Amino acid sequence: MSANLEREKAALLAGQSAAEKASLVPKILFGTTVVSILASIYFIFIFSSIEKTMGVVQKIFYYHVASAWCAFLAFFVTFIFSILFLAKRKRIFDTYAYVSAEIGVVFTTIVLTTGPIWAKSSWNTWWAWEPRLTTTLILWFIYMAYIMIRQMDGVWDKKARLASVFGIIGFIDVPIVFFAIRWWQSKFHPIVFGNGPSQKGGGIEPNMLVALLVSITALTLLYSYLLQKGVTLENMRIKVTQYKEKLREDLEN
Amino acid sequence: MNFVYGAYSVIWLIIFGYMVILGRRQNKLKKEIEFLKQLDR
Repeated sequence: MSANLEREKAALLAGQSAAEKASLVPKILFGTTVVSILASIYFIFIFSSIEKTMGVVQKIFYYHVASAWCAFLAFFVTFIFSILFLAKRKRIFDTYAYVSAEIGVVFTTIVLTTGPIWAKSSWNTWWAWEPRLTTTLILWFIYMAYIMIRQMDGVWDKKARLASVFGIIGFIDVPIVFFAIRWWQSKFHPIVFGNGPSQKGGGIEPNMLVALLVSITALTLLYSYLLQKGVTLENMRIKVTQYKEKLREDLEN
Repeated sequence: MNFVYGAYSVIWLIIFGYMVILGRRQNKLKKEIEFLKQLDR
């Protein structure tokens, strides 16, 4: 067995045992996530009052908004780690950027599916090509393209560089999604906080705000857990691939 | 209320679906590591 292969094997086994030993952090994260999700369900369905105009369907709002927050956070993390990767060229930064983008797509999918369900009840239509919905759909497509770049064949660092550039440029859409209903007139999407050109933010009842903050905390903890798990798995996958490459080289020589 | 049930069902389906994907990736990696360990013996 060559010295290179020995090194890769040691790295692989060390990575596996480190992942097993460091299982306390994911367990704590998982536990707090489960507790906070249960708390959020209590605050949404029991603690918070029923909205007068929309009725019980308004309860979709809490996880819809919390998912949007997590998607923005995930894409911001991708943006920061993409910059760090281009500056320092360390693979761990690329791993964080990739895993975070994937989780961001999961949360954007939740936003894009719960939104139409709420819209059907409130606006009597599943979809409207209005600024917030359209820019959110574009955001989903941008990060789906980012993931597709990552799954292309080719050398990892070329793909990582291309994906990093995509991750940085793609993030431009995040503030556009947020400000869409404030910059352009929207017949459908209400402004809750702050004011827009055609409408003033209605605000929410204090008990609804508590339910919203608990939901945001719960999904942010879920995001942290998924990020930690995803990065651990991706690191292991990288080590296995590197070991297999060295093994192949060793067998050929 | 049907819309609320529908929305929250979709949310949990998506989240659990993603966790199942992560679990499958983990199992695949474990199998690969075990295979490589056996290969080494």
